[in-house]
Amino acid sequence: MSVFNAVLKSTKACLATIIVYFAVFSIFGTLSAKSQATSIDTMFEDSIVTVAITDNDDSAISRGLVEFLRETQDVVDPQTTSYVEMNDNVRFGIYDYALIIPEDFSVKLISGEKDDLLEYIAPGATASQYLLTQKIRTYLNNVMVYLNCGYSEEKAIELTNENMVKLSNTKVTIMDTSDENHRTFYTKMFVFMAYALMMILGVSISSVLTFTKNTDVKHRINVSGMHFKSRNFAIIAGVLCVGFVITTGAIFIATVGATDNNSKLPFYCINVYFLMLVGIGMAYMITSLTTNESLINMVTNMLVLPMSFFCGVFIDLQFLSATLVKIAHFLPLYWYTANVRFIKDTPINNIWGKTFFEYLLIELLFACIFFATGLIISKKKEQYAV
Amino acid sequence: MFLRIFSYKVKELTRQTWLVGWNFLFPLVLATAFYMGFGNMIKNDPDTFATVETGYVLEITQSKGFEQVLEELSKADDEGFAVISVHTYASVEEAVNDMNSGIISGFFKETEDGIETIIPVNGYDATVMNEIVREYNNYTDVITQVAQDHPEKLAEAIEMISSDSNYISEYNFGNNTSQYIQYFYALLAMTSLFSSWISSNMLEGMCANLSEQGKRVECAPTSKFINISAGILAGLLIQLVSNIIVVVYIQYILKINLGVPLSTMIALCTIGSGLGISSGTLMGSIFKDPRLLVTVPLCFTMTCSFFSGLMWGQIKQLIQYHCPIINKINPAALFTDAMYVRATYGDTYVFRQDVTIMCIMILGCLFFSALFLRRRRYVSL
Repeated sequence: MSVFNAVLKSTKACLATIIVYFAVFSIFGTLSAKSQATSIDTMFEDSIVTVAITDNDDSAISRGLVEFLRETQDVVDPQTTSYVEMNDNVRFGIYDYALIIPEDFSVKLISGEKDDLLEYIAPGATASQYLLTQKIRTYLNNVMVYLNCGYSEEKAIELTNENMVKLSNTKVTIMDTSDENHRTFYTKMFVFMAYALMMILGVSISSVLTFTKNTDVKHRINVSGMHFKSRNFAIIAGVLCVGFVITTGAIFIATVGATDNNSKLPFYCINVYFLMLVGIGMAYMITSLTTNESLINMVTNMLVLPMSFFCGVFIDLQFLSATLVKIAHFLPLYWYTANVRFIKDTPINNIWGKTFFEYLLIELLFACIFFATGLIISKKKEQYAV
Repeated sequence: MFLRIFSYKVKELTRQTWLVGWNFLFPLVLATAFYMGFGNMIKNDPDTFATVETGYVLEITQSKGFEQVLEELSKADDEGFAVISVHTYASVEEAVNDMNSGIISGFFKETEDGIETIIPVNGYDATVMNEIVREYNNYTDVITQVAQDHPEKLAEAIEMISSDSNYISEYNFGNNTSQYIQYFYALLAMTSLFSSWISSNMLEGMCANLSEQGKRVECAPTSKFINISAGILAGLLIQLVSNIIVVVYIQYILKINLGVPLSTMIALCTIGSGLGISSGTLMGSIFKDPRLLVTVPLCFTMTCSFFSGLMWGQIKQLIQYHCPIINKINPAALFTDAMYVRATYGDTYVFRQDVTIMCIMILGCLFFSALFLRRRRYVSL
């Protein structure tokens, strides 16, 4: 019991790290999950483009165009007159489109000029750029048709606005039958958890195990009357206990931000507890490599960060190259995220089956591989007195 | 004496495993991870508008003109791009099957009542499809209106609708740097600022109130100025080598074009490393606790890097939009901005302003470090 207590007490040393990672997980995980979670759509909604307009003309036509865009899109203030700054804002998503109406726009339009009357800045050939450019062209074309057919300027603008607003009554039906189209809040949180949990477990468990490898502590334990088996059992139990508490804390944070109940939660939890074993195995392997805290931090970062990028934790697997996805099959986080996707896409009654257990077994195997690698390295280090 | 201290400092620093790991290996690992994550997106921007695969089901004997509109839109333009690609189906069931299998993004159903758009989810593809129906309805309405009020102008109106009118054009900057390159610039900024560890760690071994080695160094008859400047230059050299390795790795091994001429990039990396070293010297001269000499540079580097876009690419521009002054006092944001501006717009006023501010920061840090470090006297060591 004394060794078990000592393991728990030594966790205090890395409490600050645990708190920092929990904070990162709860803030960034919740933010990213909330922003990326999708629900089943039942009603059609237009994709709205955020457009910054600079109206240097201030004529009836330009005001009509701005009013139309204000009714149908999200119009914001560009906060600058510099084209370069507008380009930077568009490129980094502050707004999707910058429209610049020059001073002589309406004069040129009424005189019959058709080319390059307005300027826009967009982040390349995107869907939002196509949509808005098309809308503006249609609007101006309507105005010009009415003007050329003998309508007054005011009447042409009024008829165009009426036409364009009436168009929102087009008939659109959503036939959403596939559950696979959606990312739930739970899916995103549990995927992001892979990074946070592996980092917390890697750093904290390694620090705990480093404590037991401290020469003085090791010698004091060795001269005690405690049996080898019970001593090791106490260390393993202590480490598992710390791992369990951290993992349960992470699950708690993941579920706190959810607005709906998910009946698949127990399956997600089982998957996370198997990932805990992988994290503990990895921590053991890292401790066998080094006991220097700076190096532990660095090695954990070096292992977990790239693994998270390769296995679809930060970026969807669809954006990664096929070769990289094949390589990712040799990493434990791939199977964890695969299991999360499997749970999400499978009806609850069919989850408890072969595929689910296969994924868990692969995670367990990776935990064993890490542990075995750690044992071999420790053995060799002892053998060669490194 | 200067060269001797310089060479010994280089040896001492390169033999510290954790320093080599953080300053040389970690940036390479992170660059590889970024490449794996964003490499595809830099080369093929995922936001680029692609042809929308659409289905079409005709439930009447003959189309009222919508089929011709779809044919027009599925023709490739001068650049070989078509807005839609049309798949024709005999029944709604067939179209629904293909829609659920992801072959088409949705389909149009033309009946006596008009045109209905059927889609699986909301999004840009759905909006584009709906926009096609809207334009079709819009021109039908315009023609009806003109036919009612000015029938003599009907032919002219139809001709205007069918003619190509551009009205609007894109302002071209010539060079469009991918937004994902920003992560690599922020990575280089972080690598440069990591050198603050080198100098703060170096000062620990040079100040009598911080370590045993510091006592020996301060007892020696060597000038403190020569000692510290040799150490700073040794740190700068190591950091510069680390930065050049990262640049060469990104540009020539990962084959990601950073868009900045190599000579400018090396000059910027030198300034960035100088900034890291000088800020580390300032921290080393202020803080006396050895634990703080590790924590403070790490927090400084990571905070500056976060606000320059290392973890969230949009953050620097968000700050620029709401409170631009913060970007002008954040060394990592200045470095990132200098790289981005040079790659996108060339050698402009903003680029020179960024470089000048970084140089002023270096001089400022060194000046204040000198103030803190000068004339320290000990009664006994």
